[in-house]
Amino acid sequence: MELPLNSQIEYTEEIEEEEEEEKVCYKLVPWLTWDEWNFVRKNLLSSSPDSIAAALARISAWRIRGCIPIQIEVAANIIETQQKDPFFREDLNKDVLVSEELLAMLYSTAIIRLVNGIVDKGRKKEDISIAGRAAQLGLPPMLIDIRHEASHRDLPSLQLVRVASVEVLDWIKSTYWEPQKKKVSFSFHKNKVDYVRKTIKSKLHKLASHLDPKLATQITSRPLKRKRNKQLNVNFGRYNHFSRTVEKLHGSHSQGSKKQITKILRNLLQVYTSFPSEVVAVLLDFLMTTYDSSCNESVEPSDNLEVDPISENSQTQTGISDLWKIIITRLSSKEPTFILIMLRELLERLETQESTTSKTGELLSSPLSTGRVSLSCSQSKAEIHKKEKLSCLVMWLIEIYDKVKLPSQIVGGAEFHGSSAKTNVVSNAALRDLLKKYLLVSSPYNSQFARSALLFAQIMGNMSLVEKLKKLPTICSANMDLSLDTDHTGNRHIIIQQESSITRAREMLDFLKRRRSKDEGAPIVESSSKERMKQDRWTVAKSWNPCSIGMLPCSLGSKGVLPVLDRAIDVPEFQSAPQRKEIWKLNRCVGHGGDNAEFLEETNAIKEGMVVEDGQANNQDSLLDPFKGRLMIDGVYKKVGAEELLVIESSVRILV
Amino acid sequence: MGELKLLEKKKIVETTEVPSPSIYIPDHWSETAKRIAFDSTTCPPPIAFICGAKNSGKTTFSRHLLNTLLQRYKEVAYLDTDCGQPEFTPPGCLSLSVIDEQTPDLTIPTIKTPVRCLFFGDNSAKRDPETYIKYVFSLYDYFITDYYMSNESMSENPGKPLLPLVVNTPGWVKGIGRDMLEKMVRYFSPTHVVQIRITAEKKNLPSGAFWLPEGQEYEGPDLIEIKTAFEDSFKRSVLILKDARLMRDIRIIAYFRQCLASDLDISSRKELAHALASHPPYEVPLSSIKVTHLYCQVPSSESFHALNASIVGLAVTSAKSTNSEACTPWCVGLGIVRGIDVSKDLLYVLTPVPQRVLVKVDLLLQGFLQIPTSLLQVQGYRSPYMSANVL
Repeated sequence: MELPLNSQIEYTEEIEEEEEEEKVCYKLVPWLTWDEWNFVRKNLLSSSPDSIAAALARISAWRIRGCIPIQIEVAANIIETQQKDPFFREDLNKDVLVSEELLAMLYSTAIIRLVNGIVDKGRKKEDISIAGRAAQLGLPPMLIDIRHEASHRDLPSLQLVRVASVEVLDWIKSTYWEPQKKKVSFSFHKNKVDYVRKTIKSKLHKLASHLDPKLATQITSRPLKRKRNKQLNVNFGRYNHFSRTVEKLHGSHSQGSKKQITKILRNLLQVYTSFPSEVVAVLLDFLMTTYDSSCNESVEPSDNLEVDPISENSQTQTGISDLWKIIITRLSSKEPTFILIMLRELLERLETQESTTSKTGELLSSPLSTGRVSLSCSQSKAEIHKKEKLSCLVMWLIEIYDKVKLPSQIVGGAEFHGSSAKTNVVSNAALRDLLKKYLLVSSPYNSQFARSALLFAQIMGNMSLVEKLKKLPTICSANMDLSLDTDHTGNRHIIIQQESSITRAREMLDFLKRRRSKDEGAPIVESSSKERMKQDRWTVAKSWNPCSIGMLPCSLGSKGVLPVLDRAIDVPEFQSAPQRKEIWKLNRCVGHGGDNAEFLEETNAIKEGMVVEDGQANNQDSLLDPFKGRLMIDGVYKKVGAEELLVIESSVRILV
Repeated sequence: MGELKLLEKKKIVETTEVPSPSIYIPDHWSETAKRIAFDSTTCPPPIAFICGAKNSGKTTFSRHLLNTLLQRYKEVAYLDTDCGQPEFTPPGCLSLSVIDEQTPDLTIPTIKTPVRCLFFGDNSAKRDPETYIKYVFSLYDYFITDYYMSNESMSENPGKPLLPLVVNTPGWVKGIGRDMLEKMVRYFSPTHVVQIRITAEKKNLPSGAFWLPEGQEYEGPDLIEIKTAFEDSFKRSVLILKDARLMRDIRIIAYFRQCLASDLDISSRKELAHALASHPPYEVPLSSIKVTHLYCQVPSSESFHALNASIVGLAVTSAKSTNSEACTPWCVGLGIVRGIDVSKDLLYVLTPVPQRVLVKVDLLLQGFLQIPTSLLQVQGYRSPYMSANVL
């Protein structure tokens, strides 16, 4: 995982270059990211026909964009031909075989196009012969002969062009794929994240050393839950060692360190401006990890609105949060949207979690679904607990935002159009969007969510919204007993809880429905696409944050986000996690790797929520085959017979 | 109406090496134009077919002829079959326009909304000559039925006068190009054929009625052969090839400049690109739009990868150019697919086409028109498709 040192240096150089716009030469390319390019490279050069087909499909999309390098085009032509050649594919069906003559012609044409395309580029007329130029470029001489033979004389034999096709691919690999990969490897997403992670890690080290060293020991003494992040463990291992050294020097930190802290934070801010999303993701990873461990020890948050949780949860907030507080307040004071981006990312994570688990709740609350139940008791319990923890995090972030936001930064929709050139302006719509996400995520297990939602509405300055939110049952009943007995694992307890949650979810839904009908001017729930279809198809986008062509606007921040262009209909399974699809595909051809296992976990998690028992006509049916007829009980899929189902069904009815 | 001066008039003048701001029209050109405009009866009005090699001055002559005809006729139809460098539309389009006012300064190309337009999707007819010819004929048929039918058969609008037609053609006069020109002349049966000849004889069309088989007796259009205005066309053909790309970019940029309010102060391309990045685009549900990739097979799963940040033709499937099923629908203009949000089922399109026209659009045609890179790299808003470190 560790990058060699020099690659990191190359990295920083690249950032500097980006700042000095003019020096870098930019070219139009058909791929959106170098990750996409790498995906095609890997798949095209793999031996699996499916992977190759995926790469060829993408190349066909590149071709129409018009700026595709000749090497990629010819490589695709040759590989596609090889896929039809029984010499390279033993599994080919005899019926679909192409005649040898045709195959030879396909190979020859590709070779002619390559030689001409490569040689003509940069060759001044008649300065040098084709053969001479080809030799300069290191093209295998065999290709020159084939070009000549095929253009002017007999079509070369299939045996010859077959060998040549392998040579061509090797040549393209060594002159295009490999050097290009080397040149851009730093911009692969994985490496970017690695880089950001590294930087943040090192900054954290430094920061910790300047803060109370006791804190460092506190961090290291905490158990770390997330195994996913090996680096993290390594990091904290080092941290341990580091903090011990710091402890020796305890008391020696003084005025000088303050300067250091400022400097470190400035560096961090620089990284943030270059890779905002990566920084947020990495920071959040860290934050959640530490929060996980700290919240384990903390008592249930108080439900008293008057008490500031920051000062109240002293155990949570000392130590670790000092470190985080510094980083987050500092970053947010320079870039106030940072908090919002962080919040959104956090909510999105919660949402994905939610979607994996909440289906249980949905099924229970829907009156029609008595036949379909899945009880994932232990899992949902853990979820509740986790949410509990995250809720304090959300609250904390919102409070910070309350402090750092400038009143002028929140603008209404109408103003927004006029000031579209300005950056760092947050539209009210964006905030509303966040709040909406909130209310959706904020499962009724938790009152903290509701309270923070209230605060958030206050920040937005929308008093009527605050009033409405106060009417929310969750907020009224904030004093409800939500404590979770860690020893209590009985189903009954959870079922009761879920029952009450259903009631509240219903009330929430009613509230949202009412709200939506009340103020149509600012609908909190987006109108469905079907409704839009009935109106005019073409409308001017209501709010628009400037972003470059080919990207999607980002309600927070000015950079815009990269779109996910995979068409969902063709791969229904991955619709639920589109952003993962590519990673998964990449891993599929590698066959191993840490992320792979993680993804599998994720798909499992998704499926847990969708246990299908009644053979419902659903296109996901076939995909869920291994889960069909099984029920998640205590986190394990167990085969359930029809009779057992009936029993469960009846008991559920009573509860609902 | 939709007329707009190009942004960088000066730049065009520089790059196309036009000697002076006012184009030099030789006397024999003026005489020819007058002969076409005034030597015939007004009914039926003349149909002039202008052809000649690349850079011989076809467009300039056509515009001069337009101006001359406008002295006699209130309106003149203009059929543009040069999809590489069309006169009134962005590249990639074949169009029929009706012009009602003279353009005094011939150096400034103008963008006008054509009466009818078909999206060919490439800069040269060579991509698909058969489709090209079909499109040109469709436009001509439209002209004949709507503007060239005698009064008796026009029950709806009896007073409508017949319009003269100027046909401008591409400078592709060899091989398939000549083939297509011949087909056009035979189909159109114009009253006048103007052939502009350059000094490099080899590059010209054959003299005389080139569209007829040799030895066939000639009767038909008035055949006029004129010399190019510039005598020094020695290396010119090479020069124009280099500039063609730039000219196309300028046209596309001028076209999309119309998206923005005309009183907006935009003096440089950077400013324009910046303004376009900030301009609220139209949004349309992906599910209500069909996408066709012309001349290229793209699997539907990859369709959005091909479409994002590209120029498309906006077409209306309910409006067919002919009755036959296969013919492409009329195109109302071009758009830049500036973003695709699959999760929200939305497609974001920048286009100067007004919303009342746009509501009927249900088909996007993607061809091989490349988006000018200057629109993609603005500081702060550089498109992800502009990449550094490319080998």
